[in-house]
Amino acid sequence: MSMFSRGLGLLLLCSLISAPALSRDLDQDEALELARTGQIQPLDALLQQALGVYPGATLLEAELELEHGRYCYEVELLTATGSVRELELDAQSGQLLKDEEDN
Amino acid sequence: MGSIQRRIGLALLISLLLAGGLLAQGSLWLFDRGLRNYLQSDLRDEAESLLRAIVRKQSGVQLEAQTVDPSFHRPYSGRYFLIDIDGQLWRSRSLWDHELGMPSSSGLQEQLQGGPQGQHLLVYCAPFKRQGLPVRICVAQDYNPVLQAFTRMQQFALGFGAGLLLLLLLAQRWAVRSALRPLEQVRQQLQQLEQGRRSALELVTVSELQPLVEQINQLLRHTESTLQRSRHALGNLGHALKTPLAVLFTLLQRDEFRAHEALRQSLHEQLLQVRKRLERELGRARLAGEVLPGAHFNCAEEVPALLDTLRMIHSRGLQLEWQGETGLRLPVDREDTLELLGNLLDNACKWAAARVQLTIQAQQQAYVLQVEDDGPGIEASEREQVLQRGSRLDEEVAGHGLGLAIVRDIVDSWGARLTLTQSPLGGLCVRIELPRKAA
Repeated sequence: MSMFSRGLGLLLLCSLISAPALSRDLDQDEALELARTGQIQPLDALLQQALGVYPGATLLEAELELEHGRYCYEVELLTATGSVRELELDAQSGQLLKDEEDN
Repeated sequence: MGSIQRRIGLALLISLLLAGGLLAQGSLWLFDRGLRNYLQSDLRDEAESLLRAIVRKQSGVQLEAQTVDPSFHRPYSGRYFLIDIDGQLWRSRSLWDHELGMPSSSGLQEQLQGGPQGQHLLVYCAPFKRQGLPVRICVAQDYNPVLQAFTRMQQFALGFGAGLLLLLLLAQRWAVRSALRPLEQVRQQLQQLEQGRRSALELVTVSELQPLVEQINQLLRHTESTLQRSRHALGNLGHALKTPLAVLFTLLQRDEFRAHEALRQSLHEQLLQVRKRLERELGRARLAGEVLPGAHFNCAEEVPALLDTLRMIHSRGLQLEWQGETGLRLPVDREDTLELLGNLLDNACKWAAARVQLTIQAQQQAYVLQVEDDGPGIEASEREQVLQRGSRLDEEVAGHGLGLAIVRDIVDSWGARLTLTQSPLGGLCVRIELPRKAA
């Protein structure tokens, strides 16, 4: 998949046609649009929550996925102790769905 | 009361704070400028690399993922770009859902832009042309680490500056103290001068105080010579008048005056008044010596000679003794003291049967001078009368009563106390208490 989408509509259409039931990664432009329209919370706000649990942690990677009609963030955090944690957050409610060491 | 110490300290504090603050803030500002200029060339390199990554494929113009730095891919990494290609906006994945406004001006942006996670972004923009299309590329970098470093530097400079300031103030305090120490020396010397233990100020080691010390010494010399001169003038006047007075007294004994007894009596009285007044003034002139520097009376040096003189005058085998601590010095004028003791001892010698004793003591509060004899003494009822100004108990003996008057003048000028009591020797005891402070 191309890193930089040129057309939001085209990609949305493609994903809907090819695999409506499967999870799909969203790109930064979609994330911006969803955050702007209030369908998901901004990543910054969600991270504030997660950093409350792991103070001093830095963001390694964040992916926004649409799973069964629900927007989820898969976040990798590098904690202050040097371990990497994989978190899954509900992008809308901010609810922590998963928190485990990566493997 | 103002303090030199405080004034210098305040001036130093203000100037150091001002200079230090300006220097620290100024150098920080210059450093910030320099760093931004340096980062600008980095950001320009980034923008050019991004321009190179724009390629035309079959699907159209797109960014080649392999040539783009991975940090542009990681969300909120601190490195971002915006590419406006022919009206289409490409955002770096690292920006994620953060909205960065595309600045309208080119070059390094003066203002830092807000970024995600509280970042402050240094933004560089440049217009290009690629594949026949107008391209505008903005590259941003998180400037927070630099700002944090600046804050740390400021804190360090503040602590360091405060420590340095404290050290400098302490050093300044010490310097002022040591610089003012010679002044304290001069003060002590002036005190010694007042106590008569010194006749001039020593030259101090500090050149700034030298003129002051010399001026004081000159003033002392001047005062002394003026006093000496006026004393001499009064002495000369007294001496010059003494002979005519004596002649006048002799003339009064002439037979011509017998016919005018009342006139003679009146003239005699007036002449006595003149003489009395004259001698008193001469005594006062000596008293003026009190303000003379170096005024002190060294008992061990002066008293034996005085007793010798009295023994010569009263050559009837009197026993003259004196007691006093060795090295005792009275903080009063030498001539006044000689006059006082001379008068008292002379009186005592006149009345004593065989013994006259002088005692000089230094007590806690006062110096005590006692002159005793074994003569007839004075009745307690008459003692008060003797102390009356100008009264004479022995009006027949010329000069005796005047002696006591002079004694009282001197005692008054010292602020001392004169008492008459009965001596254990049998006769009169004249006691003078000279308070230490008044001296």
